[in-house]
Amino acid sequence: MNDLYIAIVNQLDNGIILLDEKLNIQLWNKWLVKYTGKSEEEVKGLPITTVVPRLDKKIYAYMFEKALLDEQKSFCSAAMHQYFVERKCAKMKPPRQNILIQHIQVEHTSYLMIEVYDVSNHFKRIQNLNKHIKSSVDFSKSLEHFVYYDSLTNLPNRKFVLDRLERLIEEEAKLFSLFFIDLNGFKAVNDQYGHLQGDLLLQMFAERCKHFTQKQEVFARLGGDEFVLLVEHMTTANAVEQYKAKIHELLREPFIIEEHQIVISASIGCACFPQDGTTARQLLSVADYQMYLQKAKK
Amino acid sequence: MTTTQEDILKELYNVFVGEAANLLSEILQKRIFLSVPEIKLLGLHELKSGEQEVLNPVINGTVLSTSLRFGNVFSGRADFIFPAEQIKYLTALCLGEEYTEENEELSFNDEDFDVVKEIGNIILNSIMGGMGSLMEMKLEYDVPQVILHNAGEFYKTLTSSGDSNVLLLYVSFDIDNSKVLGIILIKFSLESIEFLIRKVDEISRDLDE
Amino acid sequence: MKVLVVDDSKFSQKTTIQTLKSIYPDAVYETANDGVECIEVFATFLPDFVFMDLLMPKMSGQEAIIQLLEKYPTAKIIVLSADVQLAVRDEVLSAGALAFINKPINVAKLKEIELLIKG
Repeated sequence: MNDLYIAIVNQLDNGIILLDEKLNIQLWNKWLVKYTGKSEEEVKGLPITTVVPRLDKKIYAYMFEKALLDEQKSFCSAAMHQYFVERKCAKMKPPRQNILIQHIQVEHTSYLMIEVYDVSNHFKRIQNLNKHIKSSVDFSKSLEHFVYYDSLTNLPNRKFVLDRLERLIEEEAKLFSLFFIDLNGFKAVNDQYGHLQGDLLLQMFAERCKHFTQKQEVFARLGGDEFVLLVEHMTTANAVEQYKAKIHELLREPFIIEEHQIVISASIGCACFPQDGTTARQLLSVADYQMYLQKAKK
Repeated sequence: MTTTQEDILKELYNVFVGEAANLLSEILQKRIFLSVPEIKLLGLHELKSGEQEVLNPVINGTVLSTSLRFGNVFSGRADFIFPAEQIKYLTALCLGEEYTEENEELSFNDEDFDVVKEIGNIILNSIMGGMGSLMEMKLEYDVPQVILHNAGEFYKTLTSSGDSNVLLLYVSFDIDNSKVLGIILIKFSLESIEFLIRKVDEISRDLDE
Repeated sequence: MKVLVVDDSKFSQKTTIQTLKSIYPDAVYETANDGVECIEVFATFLPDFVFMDLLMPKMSGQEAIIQLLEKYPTAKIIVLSADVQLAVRDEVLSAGALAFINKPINVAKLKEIELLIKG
């Protein structure tokens, strides 16, 4: 064969095996020499199934026959066949290879050409990419949590409530009530036991709220000792009073701080959609004002 | 096409597809259940008409197709198309992985394309090989190319190259109790389809003598 | 000798009968288009041999083999199918079919059939 063509085949970045009609190896390019550690002299003239035992299966024999007799090309994917040619270092993780089997005819002689593509890195790259995508999805999820949830109590925050309110208002069809809750006596706890203990009390209260909350209810912390409860599908005066009683009930059990029993109460104001306002801000300020009236009564 | 012609072609394709299923089952080490194939000769314009109920959702949905062109005298292109949702299932099956339907958004990687390429290669090889021996001529063709078509695109590429006839083959096969529907479309030039029909008639005449 | 050819393809029925006629020109041939018909025809025709396709509408060949052998345990069934998977071959043979022959039927495969029929 022409030296130049041989040189080209040896420069290729994939494996090339040329077989004669008896399936004996006639060419084994440099890529394969490096990959397998077997020199061309070692393998030349040997049957392919001796050198590449994984090709000693009925289906490959069938593909070889189809290629020689009918000039049919066969593609075998790594996904279905894993690999064909063993690597020099058998200890390494098994590689993944695609192969392409085809027929070549020069004058009156038929050959089989097998191209071997190592796609191991390919798969690793895809796996890494998937991992990367997953971690960035996780990150954006945690970011979302950060934006919509209060870091101290893990309750939904002001932004969450405002967004939810706006969405409910857009839907129009839905009725809902918004309770504004302000804890009485919280400042005294802060002053007497310190901020850390005050934070602890807020967390304990938040835990009780979480247990209380059902579907279509949102308990959120606006900031400081201000909380809101949003209840969908409910605006009757009767039901509003029941909810207020439930919230007071939440505070009946004393909180234990540094072995002291502390009882806290709340002032609650309520605003209903649509009668008390048609924007989130209006509703919040009505509920806040109602709460303020309650507080002033005390 | 007359019923006799249809019957003959169907039986011939049955043998080709059976051979392909055999190869696939050896590779996957799984029994493959074939369904009774359907075969139809249609004008391209008929492809989109409402009659093709089975076909429409497939052709107009997101599909992966492997396609090859063949021949000079007897010429055309053959496509093996798969609804895209099935690919992930097939790849998982080949890799021996558990298939989960959690991914709502379909995204494909080289692994998926390679699986489709190989399956397409096996099926189209059997069919083109069989067609070649039927025509008593050597059909030249290559390893198929895999293309992902978004909804509606496949039909466009199919109809873009002038008016011709399409031989339609539905093959559905079950692997591990899940139905995988593949459709084989072979688009012929006008002369080629006449040639094919003439061959089929010859066979039918030989039998009646 | 009476032979029943079961196949949903008329073409395949004809090819099978034509090929068989080349060695058994005097045999009586009957056809059925699916498994259900096969069982009906068998009852009146009582063939010596059945050539059975597998992939058929209404009732598959596999099912027909089981039902036939239940009623006629001595029925001699030769499967003729394009489904050449090893698992399929094993399945029909263990169901009680005499032999499995790959479609298409041709003169080369006749030798095998002749041996089968001679027993």
